[in-house]
Amino acid sequence: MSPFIILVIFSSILATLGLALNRSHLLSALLCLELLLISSFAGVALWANMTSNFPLLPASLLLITFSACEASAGLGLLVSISRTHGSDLIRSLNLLQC
Amino acid sequence: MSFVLCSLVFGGGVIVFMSRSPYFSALGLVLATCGLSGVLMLGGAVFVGLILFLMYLGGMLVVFAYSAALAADIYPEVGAGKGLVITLVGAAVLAMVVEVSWGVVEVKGLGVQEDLLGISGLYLDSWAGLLLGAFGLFVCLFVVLCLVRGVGRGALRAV
Repeated sequence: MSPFIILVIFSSILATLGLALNRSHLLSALLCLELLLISSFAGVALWANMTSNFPLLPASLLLITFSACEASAGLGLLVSISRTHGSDLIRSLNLLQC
Repeated sequence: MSFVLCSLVFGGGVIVFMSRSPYFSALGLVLATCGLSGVLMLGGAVFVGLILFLMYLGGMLVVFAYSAALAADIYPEVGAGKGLVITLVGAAVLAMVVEVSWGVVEVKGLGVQEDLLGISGLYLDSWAGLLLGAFGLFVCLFVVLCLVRGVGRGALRAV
């Protein structure tokens, strides 16, 4: 068993708590989601290596590909929100007029 | 070795968790990604760790830093030194747990890398997954272009 799977568990717990508790900026939520996806990617790759299940490794590459898709769509939304609202504060997102 | 990796991953996670400004969250994400790629390389998946370090850290985090510079506050809040204490204590405890339970982790010599053989299956059996990922990225390009397009109509206007 690889000893570093405990680091993956700790970082995913920290990212989930940060996603639940950091609610001032939208970008903070996106960064916490990124940390969650990176730690799950590392977890899948480490687990595939631990159990010598090497045909699982393309699945981890697919996971990081779709996490890049998610991050780019989220950052595009962030750019459009910050250009129409002036900031990316979550408490100002329910203003009706742009 | 494991203390450095534990402090990188745990410290980056604590910075992402505790900081109120997205500048320092992006910095913590960089640190945690460096630590996780080192973890992957020590765990035996050398090529996957190299992909995470070069492609993801080189490509994605530049975009995150640019978005933080675009969207975050001008004067960011600097957190107190509580995070540093939590990071050092937690990393020391984690490294002690790792070393006591599993022994000292050493770098093995590079022989035949099995993870390279595993990833080359992306071109053999799971070619449909490769095409699916390429199609997803292609759609995502147009999604981002439609979100941020425009001289007068889209969201990006000349201010």
